[in-house]
Amino acid sequence: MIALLLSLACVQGSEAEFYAVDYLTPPAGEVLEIGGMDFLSDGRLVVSTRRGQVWIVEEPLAEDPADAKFTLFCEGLWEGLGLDVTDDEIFVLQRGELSKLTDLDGDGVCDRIDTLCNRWGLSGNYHEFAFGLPRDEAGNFYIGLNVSFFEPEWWHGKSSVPYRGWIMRISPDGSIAPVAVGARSPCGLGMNSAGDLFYTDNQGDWMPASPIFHVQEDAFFGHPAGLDWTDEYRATATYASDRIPPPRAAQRANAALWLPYKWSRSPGNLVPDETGGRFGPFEDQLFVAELTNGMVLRCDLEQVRGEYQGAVFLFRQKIGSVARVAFAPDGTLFCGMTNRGWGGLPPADGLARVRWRGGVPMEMASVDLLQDGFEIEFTRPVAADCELTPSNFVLTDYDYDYWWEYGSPERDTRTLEVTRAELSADRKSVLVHANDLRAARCARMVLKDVVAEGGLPLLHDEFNYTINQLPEGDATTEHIAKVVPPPPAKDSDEEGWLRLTYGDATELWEFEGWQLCDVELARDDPARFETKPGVNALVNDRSDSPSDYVSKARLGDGTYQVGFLLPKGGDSGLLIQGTYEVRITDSQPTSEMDTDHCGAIAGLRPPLRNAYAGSGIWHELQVDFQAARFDAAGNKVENARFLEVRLDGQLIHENVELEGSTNGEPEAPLGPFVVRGARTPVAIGNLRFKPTRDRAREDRETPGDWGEWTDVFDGDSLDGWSISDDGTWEVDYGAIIGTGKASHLFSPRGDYADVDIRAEVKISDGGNSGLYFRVAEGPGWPRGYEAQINSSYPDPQKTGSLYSIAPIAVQLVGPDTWFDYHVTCRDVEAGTHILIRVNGVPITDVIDPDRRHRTGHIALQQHHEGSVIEVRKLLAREPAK
Amino acid sequence: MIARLLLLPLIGAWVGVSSTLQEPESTPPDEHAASRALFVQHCASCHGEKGDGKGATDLDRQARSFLDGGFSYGNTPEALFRTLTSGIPGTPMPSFDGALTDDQRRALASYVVTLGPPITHVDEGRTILRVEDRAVVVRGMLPPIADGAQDVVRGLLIGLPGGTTFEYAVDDVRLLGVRRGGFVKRRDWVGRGGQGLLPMGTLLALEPEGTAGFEYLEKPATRRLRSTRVEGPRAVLEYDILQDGAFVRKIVEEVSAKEYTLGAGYSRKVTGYTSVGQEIQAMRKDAVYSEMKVHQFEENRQLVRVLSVHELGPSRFQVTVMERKTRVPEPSRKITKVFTDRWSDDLAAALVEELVW
Repeated sequence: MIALLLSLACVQGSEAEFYAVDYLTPPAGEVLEIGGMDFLSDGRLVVSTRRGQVWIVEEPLAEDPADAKFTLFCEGLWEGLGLDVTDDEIFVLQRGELSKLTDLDGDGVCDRIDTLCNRWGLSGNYHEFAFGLPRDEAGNFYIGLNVSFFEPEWWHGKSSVPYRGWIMRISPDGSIAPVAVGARSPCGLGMNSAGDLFYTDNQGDWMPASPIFHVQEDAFFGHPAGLDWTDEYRATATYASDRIPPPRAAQRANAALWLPYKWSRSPGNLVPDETGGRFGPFEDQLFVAELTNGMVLRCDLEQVRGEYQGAVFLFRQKIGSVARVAFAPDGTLFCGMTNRGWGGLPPADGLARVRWRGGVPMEMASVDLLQDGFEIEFTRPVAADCELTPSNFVLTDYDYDYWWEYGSPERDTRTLEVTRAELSADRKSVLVHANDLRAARCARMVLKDVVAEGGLPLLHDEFNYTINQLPEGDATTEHIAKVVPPPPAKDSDEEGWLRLTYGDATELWEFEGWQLCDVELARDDPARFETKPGVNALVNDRSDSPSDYVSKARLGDGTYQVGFLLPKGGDSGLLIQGTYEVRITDSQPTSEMDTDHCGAIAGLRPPLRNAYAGSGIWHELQVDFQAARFDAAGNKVENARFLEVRLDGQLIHENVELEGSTNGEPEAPLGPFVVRGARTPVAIGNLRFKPTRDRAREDRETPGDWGEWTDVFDGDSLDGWSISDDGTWEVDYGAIIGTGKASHLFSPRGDYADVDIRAEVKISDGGNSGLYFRVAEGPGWPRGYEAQINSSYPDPQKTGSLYSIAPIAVQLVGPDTWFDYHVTCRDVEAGTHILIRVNGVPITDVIDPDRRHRTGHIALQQHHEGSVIEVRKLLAREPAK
Repeated sequence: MIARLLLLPLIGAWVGVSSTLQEPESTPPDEHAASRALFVQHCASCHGEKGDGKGATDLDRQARSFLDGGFSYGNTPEALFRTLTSGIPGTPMPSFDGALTDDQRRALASYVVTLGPPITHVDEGRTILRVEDRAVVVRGMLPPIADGAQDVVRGLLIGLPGGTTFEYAVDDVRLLGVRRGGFVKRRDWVGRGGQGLLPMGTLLALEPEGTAGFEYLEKPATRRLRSTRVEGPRAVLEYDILQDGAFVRKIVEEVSAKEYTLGAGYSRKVTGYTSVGQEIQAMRKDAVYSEMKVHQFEENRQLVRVLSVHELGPSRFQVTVMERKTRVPEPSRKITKVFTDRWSDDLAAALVEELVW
């Protein structure tokens, strides 16, 4: 029979000599995608499947696995990724409810399904699996709720309904309570022999590798999505998941074990060996299902400073896509497999049995951490002729990045020097000492040429130990998964843009007869608008002869964007620099397109395609423009170009050279952004401009005679800077970051007079800061000029303002968006001239006749607790000598 | 005329139940070669020529081995296409959006799966559940029952022998509709799971917002499902009624299919208990069908019958007969629904006669 088992098993080397694997034969035509397993008191096995079925298996331990008999007990459930049998009552965790299944009439088929609890959120996203199902001594059930994966950025798990990303407790009366938060994909829950709850997570965003966590009340495991359902975040109406690093990053629970990526990609549940030795020499250790790599891992945890940590070993490979493990009463380890849709080692589904064949393999039975190394206990004595020296042990260590992206490589790998190896008198354990063993690192040790009596080699030569803490000395507050810089700014829709009508739609514009309102077509006359109070549109209906809508700023190269809505017969146009017109007309899609068609370049060329969808519909027109070039004498040397024109994203012109103005207005390097308003009613909105940056030109056009740019902030440290009040200023990832209480950060030098300053700046939502110059160091609000930095703080003076001298109300740049700040300050005859540019566009240009501030520091403001200011470049230049 | 009516709603007949095995789609050889060339050009440097994850490029985490079947986002063609399109940020896996066309990425996605072990094959025929002589209850997500309706994430189907299916929303326990025909296709048995069920019958009665089985209460109430029970061909729901979060009544609801003179219909028998074993009488305040065309009361001290007709579409009417026994403290009320293609007052009278409880 052993031979039969062997022949059925998928064997690999010597693992199979000690642990045989065989496979039960599923009922004909059925596919068992196992999600839960437990045993009835009479030894029958109960399994739940992802197909919502529950099968009862008679004779699961039959010598010939083909003798096991399957009976369908229940169908019609919605998955079953957890199953518990207590007192012969069967409980199944479905995606949407925890249920008790009862056969009322004793015919072997479930008749009644009691809904114990269904009060947790489901949005309908495919990834919202519910995993279970261990119970504690009081009969409480524990479940793990997956975060959701939405496309396209599936790797950023979301928690759009409560309590995705949480571990929950369901009491026997059906009430449910959150236990701990920060899970990503908590596929496996289980208890150790002491009754402590653990769960495994799957590597991905915020989970650098697959961890095993000890679940303690109120713990945070690291994935931020679920934090949105904490009282703290419900009260603020903000999203914890938007913050990098996440809130509570510093208070994360330590994983008891980080399973190395090469061994684990998708762990399932874990079970303790409580077989009393019937499964071999690993009493009370944890066995963990590993789906992708198709095996079972073994974990030996210990408590160091009161917290679990320990070692993981390979145990039995080449089984199949094991999602669930459970011990049968006789000490056989049953493996339930499924990998549908995910992939993993074959077999992809069904039931496998792992049986100890009685021999004791040469293994590392346990590993205990020492202050300077490990004590390794073997299952057998080391051979008498096998002397152990440091050269038998290769020790490395590493840590991880704690970040938003998919898993983390092992980081900062070091090779540690093994200094001594002391074998015990009975030759069954060895003390391995090493230099520089550190906390908050994972250690990996590979043993070489270790042989037991009789020449039996070590079956598995490697362990990975998660060192959250060393046994002695000061405890560390560091984590193995280290917080790393936020992601590089994406090429987001927002960065680089100036929102010319956001927050105040009229401040930067000149016009007659326009109003800010909400708009729709009049029901009785679609050639007219009906307006009502609102802020979503600018409409030219306040006068019989309204004007065009004209920017005060003179703009050049860049991308111009306008949203528009036309009534029937509407006629408007976007005039770049007031001279080159793209037609905005209520043109008919069926008509032959001419140079008055919506999207046409006026009088020059029809659009490449009709992209206009009709009156009463908002459209978005975007023009990527390059201005005409002129020589020093003012003669045009190069024509202006429409590099690209898009209507609702559809390309309607590409690289069109404009030989001259389309309306007779003169051409110039700079000109206003104009929308026609004199012809018919039109509604416009969301006027934006993204300048094409040309810093050299910007420098040339800066008034004054300036020397070279030098770093005020070196990107590295705040040496020489001074901090007022009780402020928190740090350098992280090459940027100055101000947080905490109100405070100011003063540059080392305090003698700047005429100065030209450039900074790259980002302010948080609700944050407030400022770039000071000619400022005197001191507590409280210091004396000096302040270029305001404020996107969404209630103070009406926003970014671009010279604080209290020249206020700007429009919110040019959104919060959490990097922008370029360029501030020029110089004394001229009439006073102190201050020019503030945002993303290169002059916004404030004033002369302070009072010359309020003469010299001083450059400084940054931290306005209030909760605000976050980041400055990643800060340069200055002073008058050329 | 009545004979003609009888024929109409029996749209039953099981819908395409098939258990034939489907052959996996095979790829024409030239297409396969083209996909292989793309793989060698774009993937092999990391994933290896054989797809074993052992490419020449030195990576900080080894590339996935397709031979062993492991994929971070899933091994469905859509999931692989998505991974090829977006890459996996934080890993060496780049985005091929731009570098490869949609068709090329689709071809690669299909090719890569062929390198690995066979994926769990789901015989589509087997995903179609049927009802034999025993009622079947199925839980899962239900697609919108009507235009403009929402997915019902926690849904429940009761399939009765004979081809009538009752479609419920579990949250707040509401009947959404009644179908005749095939039972249900389990679309969640393919891919990574989590997809909605597909009820297969023809919709005969529709309550897009759902109707509670015990509607007429003094105060707003919510309902919480306690159990579903199957007894041979019968199926019963049990749920609690809560007011201000507190238990006020236990409800037992049994739906059944009916064949009336006018055609196929169903009844919904709802019994309320204030506590276990004590039945109470439901109070009906009014007939609330806004689309009501005929509204007829017959009162003889003991019995109230309310007929309403709800126009489902051209020549399709839903006739509802509601009965209430007054002064008799026994099972409260009965709602009977019948489907017909025409309506007249004569028929109404005939129906009321036929449906004496």
